[in-house]
Amino acid sequence: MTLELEDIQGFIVRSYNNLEKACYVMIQFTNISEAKLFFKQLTIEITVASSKPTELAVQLAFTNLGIKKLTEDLDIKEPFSSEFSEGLCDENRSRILGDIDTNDPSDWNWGGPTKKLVDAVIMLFASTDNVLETKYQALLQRMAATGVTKVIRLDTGNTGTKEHFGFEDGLTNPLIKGMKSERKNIASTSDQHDVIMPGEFILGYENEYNKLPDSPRLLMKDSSEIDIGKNGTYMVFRELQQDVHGFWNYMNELKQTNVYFSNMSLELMASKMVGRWRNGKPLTKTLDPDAAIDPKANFLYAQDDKDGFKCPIGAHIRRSNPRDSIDDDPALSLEMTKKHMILRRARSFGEYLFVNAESIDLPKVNNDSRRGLYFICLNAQINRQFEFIQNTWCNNKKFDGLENDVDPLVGFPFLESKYQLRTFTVQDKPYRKKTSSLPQFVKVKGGAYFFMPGIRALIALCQE
Amino acid sequence: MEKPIEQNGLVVIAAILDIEYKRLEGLLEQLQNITMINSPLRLVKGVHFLRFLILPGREFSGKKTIPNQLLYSCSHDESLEDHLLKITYPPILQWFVDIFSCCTDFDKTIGKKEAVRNFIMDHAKKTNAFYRGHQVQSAASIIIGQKIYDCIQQYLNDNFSYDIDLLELKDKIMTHVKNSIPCEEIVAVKLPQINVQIIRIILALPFIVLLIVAGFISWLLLIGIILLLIGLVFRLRYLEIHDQDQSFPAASAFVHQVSRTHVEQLAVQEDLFPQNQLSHLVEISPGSFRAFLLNSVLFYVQTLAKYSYTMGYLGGISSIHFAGWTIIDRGNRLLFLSNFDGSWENYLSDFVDRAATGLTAVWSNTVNFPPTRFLAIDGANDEEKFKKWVRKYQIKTQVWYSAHEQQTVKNIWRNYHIAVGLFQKMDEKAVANWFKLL
Repeated sequence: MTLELEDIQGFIVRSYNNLEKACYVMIQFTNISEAKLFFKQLTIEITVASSKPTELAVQLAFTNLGIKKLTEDLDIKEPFSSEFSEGLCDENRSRILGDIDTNDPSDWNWGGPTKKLVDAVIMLFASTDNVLETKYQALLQRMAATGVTKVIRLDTGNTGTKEHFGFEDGLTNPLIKGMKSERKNIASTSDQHDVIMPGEFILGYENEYNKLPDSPRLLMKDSSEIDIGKNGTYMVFRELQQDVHGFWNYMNELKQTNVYFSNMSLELMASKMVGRWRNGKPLTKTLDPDAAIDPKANFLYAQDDKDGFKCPIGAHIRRSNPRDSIDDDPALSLEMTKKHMILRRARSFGEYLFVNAESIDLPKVNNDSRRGLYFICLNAQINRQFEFIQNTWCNNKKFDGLENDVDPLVGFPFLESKYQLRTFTVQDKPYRKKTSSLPQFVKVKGGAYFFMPGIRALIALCQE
Repeated sequence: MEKPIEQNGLVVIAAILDIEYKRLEGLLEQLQNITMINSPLRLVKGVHFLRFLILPGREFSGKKTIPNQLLYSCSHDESLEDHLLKITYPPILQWFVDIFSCCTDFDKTIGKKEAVRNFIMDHAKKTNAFYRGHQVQSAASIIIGQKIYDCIQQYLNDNFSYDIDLLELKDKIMTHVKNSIPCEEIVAVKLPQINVQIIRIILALPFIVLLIVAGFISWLLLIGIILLLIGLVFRLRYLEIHDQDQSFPAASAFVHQVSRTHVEQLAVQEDLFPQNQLSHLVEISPGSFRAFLLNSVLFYVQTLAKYSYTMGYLGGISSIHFAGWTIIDRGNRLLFLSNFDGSWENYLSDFVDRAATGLTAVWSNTVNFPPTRFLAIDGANDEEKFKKWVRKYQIKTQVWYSAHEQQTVKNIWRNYHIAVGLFQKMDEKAVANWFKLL
């Protein structure tokens, strides 16, 4: 089935890396019919997947609260997914995601139960600050005229392609089957496992089980039934605060205090936790950061790195996408991991501490200011995709036969009610290295689940 | 090589006295609450998993056709006789007396030990298919295995020894373990592991023989038997299409929406430990043909579980400790009890991704299951509907206890190989592989 690119929001198929400036405006509305006018007007400005913007892109998505307001007098034939309807801050959800203790939603900067409620987000991507601000101001004016209020504006930072710990980020994303970019990127059949059925990311298309994902349906006032999910997606948005000083100071401390690590460079230690060198080259491919290897090159674990001697089994990238390494059946493992993929669309916020990208000597400035990542991902089934990755792979201390480790970057030992210092194991010869004093480097400080509708669905939602 | 420890499953079901229902609920809640802290159930030796739960009765036009029943189930080492001796150990006996006395047929006039014994013997049900994820080990040896693992880890943390010979290091570790933990040498046991294809051929053999013999007697008989088989397939397809009409009125997922409170009630009992439990109860589709199919499939599953899936993988799933299907209520309902590792979502995804055909073959004979073809096709492959279906018929497990709740199946096998290897003589290659396990 061909993708209806004119109806799909562009963010689903591209990250807008060419539009370096971005902000996310969380909004709230009370007067529903006026808000519908505002969104209706906004609809024509929304960037769709068929266009390739060079100056400005606008995207719109709603939380469960926003959807509830827009559909309050309509008959719901098929509901939205329960993860979305319950919201990110649901108690059981917080538990499995590890949003407890130091990650507790009650301490969030936005999206938590103690903060002003978010109904929707408008995402702006622009080529320059000027374009961004002009658009933002124009929007604010129109919002004011229709009683739509700003809850918080989240500005992205300027770390280039790196995240704050200094690592290249967002190097690879799954390719959507049927997209042009898929055909361009597939060099050989060995890359096929990166090509994922569109129904994993866009409602209304077949997924990896060759089924159509469950999609919400509404009975409109004229008695027509509309598939409101068609060409839409669920968007997970989490503000992750990174403790950059804590991260590198810990590597230093580990080197000084744990004899197993005394021969390793700080960069190697950190890279073992990430699974890539700072320049993005995967450890499984090379133990030499200067080797001539494309950081984006595809790779597998089972054949070259089954035991984790290169990329540890508990490393961040191996946990969040174990590829062919789960159990002893690489082909089955690949088939299985294809069902737990997400499209990542993260951008960082806050001041970048690495002035000199080659050195890990941190400038001792501004340690108090907030910095981190707006983790954003798109998927058709939040429970089977994002939540599965966070819970079963990152937060699971028993992941792939491990004993007591969690993801060293984003893992939270969710079975315990408090964050306690964690273990990290580096598989090695003659036998493993282990540290059991890993503090929390990344904390969740905001977030919400959104639904990003297709254009036709959006028009239907805005009908009076 | 030693003989493996026999691990057995026990399922006991008895009707609850109406007047005692509230008291029973209270008792179970109380037992679960203390189980979370320091369980008296730890005193029951030789038990891996244990659960008590209330099987909700069935009402049909206002009349109770199946009463509310109590389920006691556990997986234990050695014989039932042995298990009965262990649960009648005084400090734990009173719990069993209190709980069982809420049911009909509990004899209060005789001694407690005897009453509990009789009650269990009278109400034990045969489990139709039963899988064990680590049948080489007793509950006690699993706990020792973890102690040995922890002891070695601590030794390695404290003694950096990258520069000494591995065989020498292993000897040092062995001495250290022997001095720290009172344990006998653990030796490998041999389990049958017959190729699945061979089992299939063996099971198919009687049919083939039947056809050949029939052919010899008379070609009319042969054709008759073949026609009968074709007829059965048609009958199955008819039922499958007919069932669908009944079960999925609008072929819609909406009828399968599970209430939020139901899921919440179940979810609060999940993810308390690395191990989790699931109890599931669903009506079997009516008719003797369905009953015949279900029994056949469960017999097949049981054969595979016993002779093929012996090394910690059930059809490719490596996270199941125990799982069993029991046909209960005079063939009316199918009970599924399992103990597994990781989250519900993980477990169910493993089901769908790795064992959809087998599960579909079993559960396609129960009501409201997602549509199937030829018994084993589709069904659980419809991932979203299947998961909703499982949730819908999942029931609360009032009391759940595990003797080794922190250990995954993989952990248990790893510890087993470490412990067995620790006391073995090894060459250089073997010792390098042994150190990989650490």
